[in-house]
Amino acid sequence: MKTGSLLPQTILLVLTIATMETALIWALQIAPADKLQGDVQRIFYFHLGCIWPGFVAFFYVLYASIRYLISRASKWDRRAFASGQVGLAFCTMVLVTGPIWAKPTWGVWWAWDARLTSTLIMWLIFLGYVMMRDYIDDQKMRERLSAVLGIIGASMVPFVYFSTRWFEVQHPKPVVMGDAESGIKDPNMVIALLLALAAFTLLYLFLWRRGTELAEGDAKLSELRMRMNALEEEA
Amino acid sequence: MPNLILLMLSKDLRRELRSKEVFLSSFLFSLILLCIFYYAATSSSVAFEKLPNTALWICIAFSGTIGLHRTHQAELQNACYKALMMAPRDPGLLFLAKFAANATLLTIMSLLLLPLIALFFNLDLGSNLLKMIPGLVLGIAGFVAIGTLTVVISANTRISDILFPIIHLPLVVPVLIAGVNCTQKAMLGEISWTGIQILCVLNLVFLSLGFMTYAYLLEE
Repeated sequence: MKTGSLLPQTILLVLTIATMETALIWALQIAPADKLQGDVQRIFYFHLGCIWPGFVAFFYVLYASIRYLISRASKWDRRAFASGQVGLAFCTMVLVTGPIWAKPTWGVWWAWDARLTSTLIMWLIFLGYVMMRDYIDDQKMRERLSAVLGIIGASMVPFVYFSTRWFEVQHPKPVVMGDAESGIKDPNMVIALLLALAAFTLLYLFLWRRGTELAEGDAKLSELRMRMNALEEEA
Repeated sequence: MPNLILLMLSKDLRRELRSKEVFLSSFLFSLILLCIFYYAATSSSVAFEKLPNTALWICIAFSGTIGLHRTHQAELQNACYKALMMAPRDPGLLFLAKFAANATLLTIMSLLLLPLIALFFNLDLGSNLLKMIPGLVLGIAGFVAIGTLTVVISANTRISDILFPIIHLPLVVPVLIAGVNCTQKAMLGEISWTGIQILCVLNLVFLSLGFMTYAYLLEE
């Protein structure tokens, strides 16, 4: 089945833009400001919105890598790699928005908070996964090793996520405005969060499909080049 | 199965006893790390005596990474690794055998490092030494289990020596967190049962993953 046949790319793009716009309006205009943190809390909707598709991306890497090792079909490798790249981009957004939120809230840019630390480690794991592919020339070997590393890396994600919380004895408490009363209680805040989650999930789907299509195009191009070289040699 | 593991273990230990290159380089590197650690700690007015556990795991992480990489590189010489790949054995068992050899070497190095850390940090290990062993051994086992896989993955790339720590170290963070917690508690005379349980689960997952995926790494 062709990747683009399920839902046309343009419909997905329009849906992503519409949901993202609605999420922006709801988060910045309709949802009230947090009583303790003020307007800076609004970044939370997009911060949390990014981490969810980040997790989805990494678990898809696990699924597609297993499918690759079973079937040895290159399409699963391309799907896994596209998902890893998009997941890495979402993790980067979490790591950028986290400190922007942390500075006015906790008084420091980085606080070795369990959530930030686990995201940083996941980012590093998948940076290695994405990086490694550039340094293996043989295509089949690249696919096979990427699949194994994808399985190991994605299997580690839950452990990384929980291990930073299990031993959080030295977790620094928020320096500024760290009261327990801060949090999501207003229905408009919940709607803004749900819209942001939906918008970023759609964005993940859009980017993943684009990434997969690009990789497929790239593979076809390489195949044509090989055929052309073979024909030239024959001639 | 035990035969293969014992054979590989004795082969790797014999080779190491003859050449001493992995052990000596890792051990000396740890010694240098301890010196750097002292100057880094004292120049930033951190109480150096309070950091033996940190120093121990930093030495294990860095020297272990160097040791694992060097052991695999030595195996690649004279196509020794290709010969191993051709062995009519389940690749999963080969993984367990390589894991056992690597874990033994790193455990010996860490146990030899402990008296030095006790000396440098004015630490009275005494009765707490036995309490440290489970956390230390399980932590090293987890570190090596993932390392035995990632070293083969990175060895097939053009920049294996740089890529190995980049791939390996983030993956072993859960092991390092649990291991550090176990040995820290042990130095205070307590046992971290939570840490030991987590390390057991992590080792089970790592070894199962290695057992199942090692065959794919050995394909030509």
